[in-house]
Amino acid sequence: MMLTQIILKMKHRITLFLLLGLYGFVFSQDQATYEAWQDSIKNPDYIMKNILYLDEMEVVENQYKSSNPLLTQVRKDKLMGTDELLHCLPGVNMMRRGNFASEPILRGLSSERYVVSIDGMRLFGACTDKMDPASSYIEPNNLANLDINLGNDDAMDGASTGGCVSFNLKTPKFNANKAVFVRIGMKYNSVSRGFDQLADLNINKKNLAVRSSFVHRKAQNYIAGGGSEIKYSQFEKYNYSFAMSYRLPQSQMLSFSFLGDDANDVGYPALPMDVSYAKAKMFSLSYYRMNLGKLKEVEIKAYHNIVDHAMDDTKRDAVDVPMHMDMPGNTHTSGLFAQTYLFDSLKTKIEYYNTFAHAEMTMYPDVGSPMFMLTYPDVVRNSTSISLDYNRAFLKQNLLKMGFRYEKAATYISSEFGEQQLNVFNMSGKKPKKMNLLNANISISRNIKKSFKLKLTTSYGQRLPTTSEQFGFYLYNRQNGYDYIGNPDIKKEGAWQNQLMAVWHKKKLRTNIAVFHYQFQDYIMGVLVPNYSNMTIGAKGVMFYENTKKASLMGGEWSLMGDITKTTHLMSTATYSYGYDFENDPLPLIPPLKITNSISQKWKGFIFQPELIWSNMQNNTSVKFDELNTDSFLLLNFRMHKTFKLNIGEMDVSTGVENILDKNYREHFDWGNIPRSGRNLFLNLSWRIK
Amino acid sequence: MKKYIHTFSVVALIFIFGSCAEKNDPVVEESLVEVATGDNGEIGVTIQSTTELFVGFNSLSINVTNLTDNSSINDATITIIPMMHMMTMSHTCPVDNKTTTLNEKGKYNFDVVFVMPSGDMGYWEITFKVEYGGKIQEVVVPVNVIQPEETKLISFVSEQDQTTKYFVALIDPKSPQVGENDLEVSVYKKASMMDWPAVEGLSFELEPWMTSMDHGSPNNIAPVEIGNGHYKGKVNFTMTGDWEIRLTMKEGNNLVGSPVFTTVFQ
Repeated sequence: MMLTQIILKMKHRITLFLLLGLYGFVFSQDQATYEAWQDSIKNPDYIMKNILYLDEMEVVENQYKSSNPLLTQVRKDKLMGTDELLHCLPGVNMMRRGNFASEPILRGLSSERYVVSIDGMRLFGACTDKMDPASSYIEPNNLANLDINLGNDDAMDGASTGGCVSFNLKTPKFNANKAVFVRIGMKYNSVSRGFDQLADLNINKKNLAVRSSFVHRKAQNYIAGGGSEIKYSQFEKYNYSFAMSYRLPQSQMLSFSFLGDDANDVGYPALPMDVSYAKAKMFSLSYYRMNLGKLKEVEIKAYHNIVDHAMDDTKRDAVDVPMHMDMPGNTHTSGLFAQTYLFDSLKTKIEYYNTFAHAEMTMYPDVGSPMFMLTYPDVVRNSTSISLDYNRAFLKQNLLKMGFRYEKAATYISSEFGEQQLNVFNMSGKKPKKMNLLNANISISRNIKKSFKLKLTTSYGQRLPTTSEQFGFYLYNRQNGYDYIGNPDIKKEGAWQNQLMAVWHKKKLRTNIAVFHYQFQDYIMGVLVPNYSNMTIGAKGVMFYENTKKASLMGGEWSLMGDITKTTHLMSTATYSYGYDFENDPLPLIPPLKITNSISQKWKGFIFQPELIWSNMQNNTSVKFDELNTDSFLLLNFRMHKTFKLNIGEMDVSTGVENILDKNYREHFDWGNIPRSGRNLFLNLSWRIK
Repeated sequence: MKKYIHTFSVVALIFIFGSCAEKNDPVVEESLVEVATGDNGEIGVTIQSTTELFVGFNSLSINVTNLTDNSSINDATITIIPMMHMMTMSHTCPVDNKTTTLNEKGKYNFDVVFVMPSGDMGYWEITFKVEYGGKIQEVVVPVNVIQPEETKLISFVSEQDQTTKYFVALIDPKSPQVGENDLEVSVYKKASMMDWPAVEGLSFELEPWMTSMDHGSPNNIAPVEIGNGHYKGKVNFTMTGDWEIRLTMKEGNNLVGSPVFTTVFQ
């Protein structure tokens, strides 16, 4: 078998089935050429997944070019940031602290509760204030696709109580149409006078394939709706990657991949400090083999990544900085995993990783000695896990999926100084805190009629506490103004989840409704300790992470999409979550009802896309968290796109205006009451050189 | 497949155990230095302590030598009287145990609280009355007492009668560290120039305070009486820097005073 096909197939498995529309629900894909094992996993298994297809998979792209202009739009916008990209997905919101490195929120759950994986690798941000979520070190330009699980119905990539965000990086291809191809692109955003550049180089030989990419982004302070400049919202970043694959006989392949990301001088208007640098380096080495006896698609990967991060308050006005501080942090993660399909339909993965987190803080008072503390006291975590995922078709159109994951993890602090700090609380972290995690899920998809499907998923998930929740030391949360202290004796958190999804598909219109209910046990949240005095100047008090008895989250997503006429495509989505804690008070940071409507109109090679976004106000706020109410807002965007075929290649041109009404607004979960961007005019050119 | 699982388990285990090595910090015994010597021709007295003598609570280790054959005298009963000689007067200072015999470590130990430094105001002498072999010999040893960089002794006039002078000595922490520290203070009052008794029956409140940031620390244990005018508790420091150990001292419900010790550590 040609390896080209193999590689394509590997990716097909992920993308093909997931591709039809944002919900990735596949009805009529004729993939008859694939082997039986593929058939068994291809269908409604992925019903809950949101897949956004980002780049050319030639076979695939042609089929979908016409079916989903939004995807085409996104796909053509090579310089769309990861943040913007994620934001397009129903059920996903982006929590902002500035104009950079937003943190995805899945159905109202933030990064503590979902797993982030980059090609199966774990990467942990090094900032104690969550300035650097793992997604901030990825550029969409490097993504083959993005796979978001809302809910823990798939635990192959990690144990969670809230889902998984999997970034799948592009791999170099063998024997593509052209041996060498280059793409360059650039984008301008008026609101931040931001200028981005991109360049890709692909070399596709028979047995050797190389892909290299480079992205540079630089933005000034952005202007909020109404015209006020948001100070300290500038950033600059470089992202560069190099990947090389070499194929061996018998459908085997060796791959090396490197991805680097360097951000400098990043402003965080919502925080009292900025970031002087945030750097990530990721290395991985993989071995693939298509067939090995009963095993299919064997992949073994070893990886290592380093994140280095330093906060900076030297650019701020002196009046806003009560005391100068240095706050560097870093994480080192190494891992190893092997995965394969056993008996065609049983996906098996064995995984080990080790991660280390160090963060410190030195404060320099005007009078007196510097003060030093370890905010992440050299936390070491070792985790070993085995995951299984089984798919079986039965009674023609029905599909059964079962998943199981068992993980053993131990976490301890390796610094004597950190241990002494903990002794203050009569706690200790020197001895490994061991946890065994169990994740299990079962789902049944049933075709009631040809045009109507139902899928029911029940799952139970458990997650490890994060470094902050277990060993963080006086971490200031600017969102509510409290210092947070980790709890070394905290227990794992669990969640029962039920999801029901219904899909109607008639002619070219499709509507999906998903409703979900999560019941958390030992829900980890900060609980106020009244008699502790805060460390941070101006903080309101101290919160200590505890396992609260329970919490519930429910809600749903709805979407309608399809072609109204031959040239008009409609897409509407609505997302709603509602949650309450152990005292029946609302959970914090829950996004209110949000509705988006967009129409794509094709005309003489152009695509015009007006878009309307409405978000309800959020008054259901957490008193415990000291949360503010958020106003309703209405946004209007307009984008257009055209591809020009030139002698020297294809030129994609996108332009448009975002937030046309120049609305001054913030999303409910944004930090620090900082309004988002006002009216933005963008121009995006991407040129694929022949 | 089994083979692979096996291989991976082994590799994983190597990783796990490889990263679990723990390190133990060696316990350093505090070494004694000689701070003063003196003799009367027949016997010699050597005073040792962990540091120079300072204003505050000092633990003195005494060696007594028979000068005729340079042998150690281990069967003596020793009484000490520290004395500050000033221009117009002399006074002594608190001593926890005025009379002692050899302890199990082979030393004569005295806990002396010097209340002022040697200097222009006057000088310190310690008179040793060594009783052995049926007779009492007196040796006077001049000592130098310094004012330490960080105050280890605080004196104040009682809030109650506005006349009695109280002395609070900070014994522990000697070298404070981030985390939990033993806290021990001893309290004395000046009854007369020659009588500085320990004060018993007091109660304390404790609040460590980081002045440059205006915050405290949690889970402290206010000192409670352990006898002989000593009070023991725990003080917690959450970070390095300038800390105050703020004490409130009460007799029954009545405030006696609010001594504050400052400490800086890196």
